[in-house]
Amino acid sequence: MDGVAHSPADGGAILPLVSLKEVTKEFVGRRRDNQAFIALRAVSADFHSGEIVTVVGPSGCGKSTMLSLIAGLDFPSRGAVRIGGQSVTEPYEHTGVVFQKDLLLPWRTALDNILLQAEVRGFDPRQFVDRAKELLALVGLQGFAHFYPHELSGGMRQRVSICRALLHDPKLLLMDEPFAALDAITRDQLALDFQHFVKADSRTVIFITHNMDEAVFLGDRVMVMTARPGYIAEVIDIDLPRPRHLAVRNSSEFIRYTGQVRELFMRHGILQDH
Amino acid sequence: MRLLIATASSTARKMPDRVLERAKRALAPLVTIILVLVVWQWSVRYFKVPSLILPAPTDIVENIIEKHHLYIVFSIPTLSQILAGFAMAAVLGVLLGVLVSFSGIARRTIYPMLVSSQMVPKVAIAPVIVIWFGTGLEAKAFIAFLIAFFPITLSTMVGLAAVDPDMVRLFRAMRAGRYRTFVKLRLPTALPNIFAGLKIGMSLAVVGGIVAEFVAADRGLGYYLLYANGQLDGPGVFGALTLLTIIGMLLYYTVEFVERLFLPAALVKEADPTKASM
Repeated sequence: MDGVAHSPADGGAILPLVSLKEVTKEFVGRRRDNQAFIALRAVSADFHSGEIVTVVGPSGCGKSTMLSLIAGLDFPSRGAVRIGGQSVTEPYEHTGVVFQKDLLLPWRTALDNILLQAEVRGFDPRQFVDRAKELLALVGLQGFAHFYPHELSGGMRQRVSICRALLHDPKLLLMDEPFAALDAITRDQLALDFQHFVKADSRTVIFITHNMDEAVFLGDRVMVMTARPGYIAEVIDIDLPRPRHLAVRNSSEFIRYTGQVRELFMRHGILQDH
Repeated sequence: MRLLIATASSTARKMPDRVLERAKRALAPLVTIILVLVVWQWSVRYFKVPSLILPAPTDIVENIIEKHHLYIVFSIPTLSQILAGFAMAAVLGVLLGVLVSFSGIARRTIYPMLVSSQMVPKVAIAPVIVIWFGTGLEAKAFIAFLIAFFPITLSTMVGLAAVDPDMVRLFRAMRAGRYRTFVKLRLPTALPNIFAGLKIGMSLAVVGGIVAEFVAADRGLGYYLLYANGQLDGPGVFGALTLLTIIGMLLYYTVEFVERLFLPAALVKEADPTKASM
């Protein structure tokens, strides 16, 4: 399997960084009939170091709920979420999160927004300035360190927010539809650049999307989720060489993979052909 | 990227245009004011309006120049009680707003009391306050404080509640504690609202200061205004009014100036003095 690191320290066995066991999440009393709304039903999944796992599914399939549980922002009704073998009771220390909105503070420059990650965690931000500038250069924003968010385009702002998530070199990077608010061209460019600045042997990336092409293009594995009740229908290994170029989207393998995802959605009644 | 730099430099080149645009915009109200003054002056003279009812603008200016010493001496107590009242209102108002926003107990105990206290006509209890505090600076500053503090508390609360919940989620994901979330997120987010409250509070403190002098005072511009009225001294009444207006405007724009120092240009809300005037 391309991209999955088998650490020798594990003695050959693959110890997942993040592991979900029979995780169920219900929201009680949110609806008028007071029925519990089931967002996730008995979901089990493992996420390993060095891999990018994309989670694809329609709106309301529970994929964002799953990310919230892994981020430690919410907790399962039943089952266990473990990171590094520990049950999640608060946000895991070595996590970076990128949301759909860039969530940059408008009164801070790009650089200061990135340094926020260090400040909030109680580190001396001055020691992170070089790292922050390196990250800015990596995402193609050298020279924009002192620009305010309103002076940057949507794509640039999301790049800055990715830098913020990477400042402390997290072992776990969680991305909740980070490119969904961008126009199609900016989105393709970011997806293309993404693999270069996010991929690392020591990092687990969980990337939520509702875009099938994006999921196949970015992922080492694609988790296909279906709605009501939210569960993982299938996990598809994507065996495409990296770095992946735009041309790969026209390759027969790529089309086969996206066809496979589409087929799953059709089988579960999420996509209906006439 | 190149495009962005190009637009940035073109806005820089447009700066003189913008200054000109501003001057043009400032010109319209200025011309209006001058026109009103001219019509005022002319009609007072033409219809021979008694100066007790409405003195001509030139009479008011003349009066101020002639009695400038008295106006300066009387401005000092008025100004100091307004400033003392406003300072108390600003500090306590913001603190209370923060307290009520973050403590459930304060929200259930202090806040309902605050709201109901606002139903008490503060001008009407001014005499009671004079009985409590005497006729010195304290009583007048306290009346100014009472009138000014509630809008500051309220806008602080509104500002603190305006935080984007997604932003709070981000801070939680970054393991930020309550204190860091407050200092780095909630307070900066609330600042534009807090300053809006301070501007309203400042104009209300001016009202409070003058009302206090109406009730009990032996000096000050409010006192002089009543005195001149009793003496049927029209130019005196309007002279005091003019000075009070100038003081009010100066104080208001001082708060606005401080706001611009504190807030990055991108966040300053276009000031709307009409909303803050009484």
